[in-house]
Amino acid sequence: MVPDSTSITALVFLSLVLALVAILVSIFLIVRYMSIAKHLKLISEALSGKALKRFVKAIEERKSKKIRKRYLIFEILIYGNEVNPQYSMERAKVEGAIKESFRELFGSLALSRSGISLVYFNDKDMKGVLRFKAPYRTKIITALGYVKEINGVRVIVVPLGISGTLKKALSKLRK
Amino acid sequence: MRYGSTEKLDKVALIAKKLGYRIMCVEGLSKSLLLSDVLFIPRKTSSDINELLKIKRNTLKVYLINSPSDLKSYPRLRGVAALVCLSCKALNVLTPKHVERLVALGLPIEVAIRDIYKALKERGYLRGLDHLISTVESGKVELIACSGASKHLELLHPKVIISTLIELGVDEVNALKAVTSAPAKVIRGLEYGAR
Repeated sequence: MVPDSTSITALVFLSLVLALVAILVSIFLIVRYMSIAKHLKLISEALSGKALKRFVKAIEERKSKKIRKRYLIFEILIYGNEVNPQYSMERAKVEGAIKESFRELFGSLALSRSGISLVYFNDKDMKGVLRFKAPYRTKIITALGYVKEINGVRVIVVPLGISGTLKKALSKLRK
Repeated sequence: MRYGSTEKLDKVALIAKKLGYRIMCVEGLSKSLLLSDVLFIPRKTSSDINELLKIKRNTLKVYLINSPSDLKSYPRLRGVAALVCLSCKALNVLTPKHVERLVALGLPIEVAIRDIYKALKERGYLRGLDHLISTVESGKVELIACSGASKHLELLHPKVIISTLIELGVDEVNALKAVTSAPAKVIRGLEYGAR
């Protein structure tokens, strides 16, 4: 059987239409794929950059959330004829003088954030332990040098050492 | 100690030993002394170069700068003074140009912590100190820090001096040098040797 010319024309037309549809579908798929790739790229960038950074920062914050406390051992030196050998200092006066010198140098805000408190003071040997937050170490030592007098008596406050626990600070103090 | 102290040296020696000092430079001494294991070296501080020229060899000669006008004759200072000291007033008024002149001298610069405390109490802007610290940080000049005490109870613990310098913006290494190696180098130059 020999196909007639009309059926051949129809077949050619059909094949042309199919080819056109195939081209259109491929173009559509390419465009679609490109947009997916674009999205993928964005997602990967977000993961590698912003989100990861945020994640790392969150871990770091979790790590450094707790500000450590430190214990500073100090001694008050009083020399001179003006001082009675039986002289003893009140704990509140010592703490007040240290806090006042700190406030004068670094301000009230730093004082409230530094968490300074006198946890131990022996008025016989004039030694004490001061608790504070670790980042304020140099500020506290500077403030100790700024203390000129306590209760009207000229003094030098000498930092003897810094410890991580009160127990170790007290053992250092008694040595 | 500075500025012609009249304190009894044995009292000073006891406190200095307690604070951990081994050498001290004191105004008004005629010769070096060893008391309570602390070596006292004579020191002369003056703003007059001619006066410093008359001083004998084993004395620490310090040129005091009170105002920018004291820097006019700075080339004459070479070979006369061992170090340059900035007063409380100079810490307020020195400009970068003056600090550059100090750098050109090649001498270490001394700053007294008590002077800084005094200036802070007066609530002044320490412009000169600011410029000096940035120059020290760039490594162009050596900084020496002293307590600047005129009485025995004005002495400061070395840790306090270092902490104050750190708070002022000097890095830890330079702050430590200002109390240890830099003054030791000057004293070695006076032929007292390292202790």
